[in-house]
Amino acid sequence: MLKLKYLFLFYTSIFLLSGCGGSGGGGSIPSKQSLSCESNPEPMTSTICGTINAAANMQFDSDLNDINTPFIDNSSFIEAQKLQNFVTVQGFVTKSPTREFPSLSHDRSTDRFYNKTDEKDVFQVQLQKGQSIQLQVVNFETLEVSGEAFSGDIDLSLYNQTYDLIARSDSLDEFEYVQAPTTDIYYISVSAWTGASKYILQILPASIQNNVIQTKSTPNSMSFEPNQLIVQYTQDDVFKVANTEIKTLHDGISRPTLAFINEAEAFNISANATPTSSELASLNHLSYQKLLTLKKLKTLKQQSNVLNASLNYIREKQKTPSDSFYAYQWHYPSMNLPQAWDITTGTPDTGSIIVAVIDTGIYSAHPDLINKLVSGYDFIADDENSGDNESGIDNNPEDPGDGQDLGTSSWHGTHVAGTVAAQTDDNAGVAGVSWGAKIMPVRALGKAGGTSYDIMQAVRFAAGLENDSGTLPDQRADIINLSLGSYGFGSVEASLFKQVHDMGIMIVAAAGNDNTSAAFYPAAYDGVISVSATDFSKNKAPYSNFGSYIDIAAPGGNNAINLNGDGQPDGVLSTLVDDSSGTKKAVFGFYQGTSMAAPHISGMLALMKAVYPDLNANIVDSLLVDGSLSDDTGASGRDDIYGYGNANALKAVQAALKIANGGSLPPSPPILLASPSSLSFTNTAQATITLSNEGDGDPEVISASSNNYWLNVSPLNINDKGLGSYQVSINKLNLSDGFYLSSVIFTFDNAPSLSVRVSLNVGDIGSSGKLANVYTLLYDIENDMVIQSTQGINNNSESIQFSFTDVPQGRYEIVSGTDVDNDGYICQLGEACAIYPPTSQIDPIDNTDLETINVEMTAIILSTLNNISEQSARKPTQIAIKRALEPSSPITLDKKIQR
Amino acid sequence: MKQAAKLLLISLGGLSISACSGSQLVKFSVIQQSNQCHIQAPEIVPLSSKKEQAEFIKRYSLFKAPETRDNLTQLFDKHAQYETLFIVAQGQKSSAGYGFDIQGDQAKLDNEQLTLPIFFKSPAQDAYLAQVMTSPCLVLGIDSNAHYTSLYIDGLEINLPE
Repeated sequence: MLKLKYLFLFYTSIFLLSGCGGSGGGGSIPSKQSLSCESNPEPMTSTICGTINAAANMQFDSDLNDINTPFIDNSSFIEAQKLQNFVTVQGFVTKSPTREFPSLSHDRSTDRFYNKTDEKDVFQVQLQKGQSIQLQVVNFETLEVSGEAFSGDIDLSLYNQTYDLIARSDSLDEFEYVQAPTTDIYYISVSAWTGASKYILQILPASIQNNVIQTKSTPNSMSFEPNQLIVQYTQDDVFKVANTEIKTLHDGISRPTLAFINEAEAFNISANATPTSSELASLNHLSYQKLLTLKKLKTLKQQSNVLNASLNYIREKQKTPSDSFYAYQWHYPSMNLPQAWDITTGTPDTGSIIVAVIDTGIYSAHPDLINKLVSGYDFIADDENSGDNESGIDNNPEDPGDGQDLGTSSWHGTHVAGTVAAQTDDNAGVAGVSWGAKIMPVRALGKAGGTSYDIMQAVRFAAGLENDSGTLPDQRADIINLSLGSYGFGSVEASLFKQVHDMGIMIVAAAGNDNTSAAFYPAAYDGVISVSATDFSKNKAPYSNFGSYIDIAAPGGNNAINLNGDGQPDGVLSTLVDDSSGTKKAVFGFYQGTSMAAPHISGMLALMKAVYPDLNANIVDSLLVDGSLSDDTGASGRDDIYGYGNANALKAVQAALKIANGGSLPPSPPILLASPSSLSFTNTAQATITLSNEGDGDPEVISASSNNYWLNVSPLNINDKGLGSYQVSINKLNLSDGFYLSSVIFTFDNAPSLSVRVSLNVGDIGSSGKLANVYTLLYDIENDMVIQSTQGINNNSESIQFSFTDVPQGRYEIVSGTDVDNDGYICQLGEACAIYPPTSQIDPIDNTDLETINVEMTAIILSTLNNISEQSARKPTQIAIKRALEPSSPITLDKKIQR
Repeated sequence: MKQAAKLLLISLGGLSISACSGSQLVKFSVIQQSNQCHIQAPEIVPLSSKKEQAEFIKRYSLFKAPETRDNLTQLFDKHAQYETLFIVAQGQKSSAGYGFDIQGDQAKLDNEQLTLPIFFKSPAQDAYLAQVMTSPCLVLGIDSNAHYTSLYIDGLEINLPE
């Protein structure tokens, strides 16, 4: 039976074959001894027995059409079936009783849903932010009955714990998907729109979503007016559309018009009056209205007299902070910050992003900064330059002013800090680029500016390196902003900046304000992002330096003009101090300069790091070069005025988010490997990771850490470079049942950091799969017929045992699978299937001279969904084998069909 | 300028103008300083009228505390009673560190040219400097009774109408 063997080539699950009490026909690996596999009393016959295991993470809908499968109703929120959050589910829904569908294979009356519907399956699951759920619709009995009568369609909805409709995917396509916007407990609703269908539901980890989404449809935005639609009817039908269910604002016009859904009529007239609709209407009426609106939209789109129909979306403004003077901060929309703020405002899931502002110090009492500061330091060693009445360096980065007289100080550090991360959305003052970042004020500029040495000490402190203060910050800075500079090159400085860069810390510096191409430092040092300045029109600001060292451009302002019509100079508005009266007062003011451009970039990097905590200087370099941080401006490609272009915060945050969600990381010369590359904890609490460098370079491990409190890592046996083995341990305390993902993060001195994915199962919702009712067929190769069939012992277990007795000597194959839709065929798309032998390279079962043969097989769900590296779902094998209608009754395999 | 007649009267009183080695000394005061005056070029600008003063105050006190504008208005009004007000601007500079070195409060009046002991200050070359564009200026008041036809400050000169 070559055909059968060919079909089985796709199966690679684990199969064990051995003789029970004798030599096996093909395998030498000991098998599980089945309790039911006893020696056969007839000398010329054998017993073929075995175990069918469920693939990991495989589950089944608890109300399948197969009446032999245990039944637990899951058609309402109250009865929602609980799932783990990394799973593949085989399921079945039907809009109508299945008696309405003809059957060519068997008596439909054996269907569980012969006389009733199964319109909806509801699942409850704890999802992590970014996890996606995708659904493949597998039409019911398409093997038997062609044509449109069975063009079943299923929709997918996601609700939160308070039954708010969070997302809905309701295309007419084969695939649907939705995504969890936040970490929370959700309800997943799988509902039949038409017909009856099997389905495969996959819940995927957030980190691999980009690789698996197959639908072309986009989930609907939930921001729309309930019970309203915009409809355009065909010319001939504009006067015929009035009905009791929907009423248009303007009758008799062919242009798009607003249409109102009569909720009560729609509920009564349409097919919406299901028990689950009633349940949702009572649990969350707005959700129900939105669902009703989406359903009505889908219906209208399928009507021939409707040219076009759409939701009446509420077009909300992009995230706009409430700060009093935000209207004057033209420089934020200029780099698409409001759109970026829709993705993140800069607060990471854990911890804080810290931006060190090495500058004139800080006016810490400023209301827009007072709650945004972490401890800093004052590294101005010269007392006259410092002017703070303290001897030498000290731990107080307060800015005493850099002017000789009242009113003449720049309060430069306060202005820069405000741009990076002023207190935002607080109805007062100004907004900062990153709402969530913290400022580490490090003072290095005094009345006479700063010296190389003082600035180097400041950089070392910010980076967590040994310095003259004898102290280190509690948490080193993620980003260092240097809105300062001069034209002198220093090799010691250059070395320090490279060292800090290679630690992963991002360094941003002002390009200088002399409209010259002369190299300006530290901006021109390797490893430092050099920022030139632009005006309101995104053109080079007249003062901005340019040249080969420019990396990127950002708003620096031009106080000489007012192109934006706000009545104020087009400078950068931020926090300032007014001491002209002799008392310091918190004020705001427009400044211009590359000093103002640099903190826009620092803040933007802080936003990126908030969505991708592993972001480091090397990755940023790569993203910069490939244009992911900016819009190409000026000459094509990199140029000496704008570098790689004008900063675009939206692109930058999206790029970071893409990497965070599994996108490719920029290349690096050293190839650092962790073995294993991922860890999965269920019952154990500890594991070991071995770290090695398989590439060039000589990277040294700087740190080994995790990004979740439940995950710890510590060195076990490492060399002087930190390479070797690390112990990883987990702590399940305070974790609710579910699936968790985190990472162990290794950082290196001259290589990108390395993350080892760690998954954790907590509670009794484990990763073991579950089997529904399983039919197992014994196929006689030589006589081309199924000689025995059996129904699996159904105990909702991870494995099912089977046994065929009195099997004549011969050569056999075993096919085992579920019949989710009860159509009489197993091993169809959307159903679990296990086959022995799995490949043509393995011989079939030959029971000659054997009393017993024991086989172990693993069932997987047949799917066209992309393989997600787990064994629970596979590419289509597209076979269907008619199972015995009555257990143990022989049936020929002539109904075997390949689609 | 109508200071000539008044000059005589005040000189007789010996209050704020005094003779010194063939030249006279005229008292002046620095009313306000800032490094962000938004004046592009180095220049001396009279603040002769209330309107000019109000415009300067408005620009200077933008986004500052409300009392700053009020205080400045009161200060200007007070000085304008007996002084003539001028803005002395250093012009736009490419960094912080610029400003004025004010050496005393007596200007030297010589041949109707009034020279003020105010000098423009620049930062040290190659110092690391804050990369903010600045435009330092100061507002000074010169005794209204002094007669002079030109005003000189560190290379800047303004000729005043008779």
